[in-house]
Amino acid sequence: MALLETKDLSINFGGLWAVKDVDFTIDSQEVVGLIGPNGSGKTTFLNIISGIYPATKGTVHLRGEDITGLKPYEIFKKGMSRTYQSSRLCWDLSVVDNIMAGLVTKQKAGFLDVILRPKKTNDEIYQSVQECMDMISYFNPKLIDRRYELTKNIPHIDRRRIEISRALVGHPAVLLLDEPTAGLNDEETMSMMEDIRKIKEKMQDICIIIIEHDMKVMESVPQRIVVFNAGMKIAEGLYKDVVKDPDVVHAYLGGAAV
Amino acid sequence: MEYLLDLIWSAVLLGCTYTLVAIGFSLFFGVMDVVVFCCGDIAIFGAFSILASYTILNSLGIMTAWPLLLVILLLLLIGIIFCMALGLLTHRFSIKPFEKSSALMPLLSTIALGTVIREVIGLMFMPATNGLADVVAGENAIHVVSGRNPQSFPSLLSLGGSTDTRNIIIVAVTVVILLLLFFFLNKTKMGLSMQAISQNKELSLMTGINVSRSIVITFVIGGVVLAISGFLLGNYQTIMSFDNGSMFGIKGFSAAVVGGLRNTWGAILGGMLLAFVEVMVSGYVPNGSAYASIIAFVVVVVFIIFKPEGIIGEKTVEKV
Repeated sequence: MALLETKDLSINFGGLWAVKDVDFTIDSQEVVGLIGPNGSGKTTFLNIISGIYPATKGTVHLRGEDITGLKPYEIFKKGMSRTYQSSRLCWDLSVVDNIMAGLVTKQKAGFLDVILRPKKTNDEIYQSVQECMDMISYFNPKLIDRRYELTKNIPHIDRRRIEISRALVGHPAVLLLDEPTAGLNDEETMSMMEDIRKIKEKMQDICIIIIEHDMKVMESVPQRIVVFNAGMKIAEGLYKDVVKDPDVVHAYLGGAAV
Repeated sequence: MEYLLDLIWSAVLLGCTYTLVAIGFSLFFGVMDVVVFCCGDIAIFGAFSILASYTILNSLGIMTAWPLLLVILLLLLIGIIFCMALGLLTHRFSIKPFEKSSALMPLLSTIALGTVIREVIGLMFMPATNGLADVVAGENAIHVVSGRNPQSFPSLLSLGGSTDTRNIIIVAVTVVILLLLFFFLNKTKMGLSMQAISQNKELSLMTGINVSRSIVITFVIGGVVLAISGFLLGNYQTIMSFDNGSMFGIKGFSAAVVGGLRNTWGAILGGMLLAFVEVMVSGYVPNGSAYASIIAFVVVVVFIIFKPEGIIGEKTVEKV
């Protein structure tokens, strides 16, 4: 049984099928890349499986359980976590607070605990901070010294790392990365690729779906590539095979290239 | 000097009521990015529900049988329940249907709802000359010049007929509410979730925050704050008119804008600033009470021109 599986997944926006009849599976430990021209439905696909858009038809199963139509917070609790194309950080919160946001549903302290601050609450907070620091130091140990700085003062690549750490700190089963290298220069893109590999080393069972335009990343990071065009899945397989597929070349370069 | 102190005191009292309404505005705006324009009317609705309950309790003899504190708490609870219910109805019928349309739609629909609330209060509370006579007569006659059906609000907080205790209670209650709200918003998981939604909705969605539940809770808390502000305003003005909500709401909204929408501390500063301008103009300009609101709103216009982000609001830069 696949860890995450979609069947006939489709969404219609006012008559336009932004995603249509997509069958997709991913197993634990797998890294799958989604590619396709702009507007081909990659991000919309992620938005449907993470519950932000309701599917018009089709189903999503996580570990065999039907999660179609669940709210984003419920899907998050089932073990799916994601990042967005543009930064979704709270600029006026510190590095550690931003990462802690990923643990908020796991914390048990209630209203009275916050007022009375018993030892167990303090321990819980201390432990959460520790987990967040462990996570971020894995990507960039220098951020430990900057943990109480506001994220608006942190460089772009480290902001990305903070977002990935926030998505990972709750130990999800599925991680969705939407263009993690957007806005990074070549050198930074290389270190981001390295970071994604590190995620696999640290959390071996995690499966990752990654959307990326940078073909260097797509060539080396994912084990398998799925190609979208006009809302439909048009190809799937190894990078070296997929890029030679006539449909894929046609989608990217137009009819004349084939 | 004593005159100045009196004026300052009045301004603080008026500022307290404005502040609470302004906080209602910034709570709703903060969490949903929507201006709920009927905040003032919800508060006045709360005040009128307290007024009605008072009349009923009085006729049942409970007012004299029960200790005053208990009665006040009971009345306040009734007002809070009514405001909470009205807040939730506002959300359900005036805001939620327009979730996916432009921000103008809920703005217009809440303005319309405000008018509905106002007129319903006006219909339910026909001229009550009995209640009014007590207030208008006597040496401190109050001349009611506006409003169709002014009602006298029970002076519950003026223990032993002294307005000093009332004033102290108004300030104290406002401070307690502000502290509780501050604590709730900054220390509890729910309050922090509400702030997270206000700052970054997508982030909240994907960190496991139940956004729709948080919005409902915002309306519940907003209802509590508005009910208390209506109750305090009733005690302060001693006379309530069904259409008070309109001006009260606009003042509260202006206070929130001047302070910086989204910012609770800004709401306090804005509320106090507006109240100080009004009271000082009334106090020092000959025949000034007629101009008080005009000058206060000129201040608002000046703020919108020169500091549109508010006193402590942050400039938002849209990246294209």
